[in-house]
Amino acid sequence: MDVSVVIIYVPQLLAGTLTTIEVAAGSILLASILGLAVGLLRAAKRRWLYLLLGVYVEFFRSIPTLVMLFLVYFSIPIMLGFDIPSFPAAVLALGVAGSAYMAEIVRGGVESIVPTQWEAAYSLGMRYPAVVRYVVLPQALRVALPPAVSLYVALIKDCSLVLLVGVVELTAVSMNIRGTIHGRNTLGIFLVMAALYFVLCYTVAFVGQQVERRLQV
Amino acid sequence: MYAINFGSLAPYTDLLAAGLVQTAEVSAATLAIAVPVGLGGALLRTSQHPVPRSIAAGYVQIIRNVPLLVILFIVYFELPELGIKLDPFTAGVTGLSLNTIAYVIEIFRGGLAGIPPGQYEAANSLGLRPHQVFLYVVFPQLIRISFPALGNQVVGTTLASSQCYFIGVSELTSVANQVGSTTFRYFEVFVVIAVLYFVVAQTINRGWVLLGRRLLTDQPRRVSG
Repeated sequence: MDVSVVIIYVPQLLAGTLTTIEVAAGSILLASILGLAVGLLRAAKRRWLYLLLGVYVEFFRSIPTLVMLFLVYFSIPIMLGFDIPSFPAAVLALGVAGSAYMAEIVRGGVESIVPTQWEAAYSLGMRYPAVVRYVVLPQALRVALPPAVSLYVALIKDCSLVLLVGVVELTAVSMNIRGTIHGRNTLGIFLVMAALYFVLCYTVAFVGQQVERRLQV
Repeated sequence: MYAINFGSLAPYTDLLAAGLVQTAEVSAATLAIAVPVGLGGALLRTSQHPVPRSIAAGYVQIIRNVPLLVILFIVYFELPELGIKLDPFTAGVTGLSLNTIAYVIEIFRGGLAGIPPGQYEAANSLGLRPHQVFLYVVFPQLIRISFPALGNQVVGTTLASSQCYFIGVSELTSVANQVGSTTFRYFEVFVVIAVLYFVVAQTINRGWVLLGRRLLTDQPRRVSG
């Protein structure tokens, strides 16, 4: 195996990894904010809101991320009348897809809080926003953390799909290199790519576990 | 201004249906491999010997932290360099199976952890042999505990099969892209297949619940041997 072929491409692969981190960070941020909002609204015990947002959650959980990317890519120009750059398109597709999963995680967390916690908070004279902010969320997010970390790892892995909308992150970089070196140790390039994704995902999972341990009561 | 026109897709109904069938075939073949292998993997993962246990744990760690697409690319583009040439369908099923197995191992591992140790002790003290313990005591409980999570995995694998598009399997997403490139009705065709995936996923969810009710409701059974 010719390792030197791989070594000269390491800087390019790392640059691709940086783009992966950017797309992943954007998607994770969007998925978290949107998912938190949708999840809290669904847990708020308003029937019409619950059902309406249920459609949102079920729809985006039932279509492949790949199809989300295609949809965003082809529907934005039609709806807005102009193209959006590939980076925001990728973040939008992954973020919205992830938000549906995040919403369910948040809802699960909120619903795991026993009713007596609400009652106790209300009887102390707190109002709904205060109860959510100071009593429910701190406990709910602790419950939601492990599945949320799994979702973040899944979103990092889904970044490999954004080559479809023209974002040149790790996968696209590796495919381009593969095209230029014609069979000279392309496996090495792919293994380095796999290793880089592994390091990213594993780091997030590891940090998640540490935070989880810290938060344990 | 772009005029949306779903009617222009009418001539391609058969093609899209064929894509849907291919999606079903890839997913079904994958699950037929991954569920039994994953069950075996979970037994290794929970075995008392450290060697099989760490091999299974390492496998799960690697697969869960590497994108499916990377696995598909390695199977389809790199195995031929090592002399193993697979057609797109086989490569797709192989890559998707490698991925799904890791998740199935985790599902069954969780299920096995949910079986109280007293069950094993009781079965052993009744004089059941190890394979009987598994078959008559562990497995019936395991399948009940793991059933909902397996249903999610069936949906997950079906949705993930769309990534076989990248290695040229003519499943639903590839066919949609193909129809898009002939008609330039990309938007319409992707809305159509999004709805199709939605219907498929919802049908699996509902069907799985019904299947569980049918298969897993307790009925008297005679244990022989």
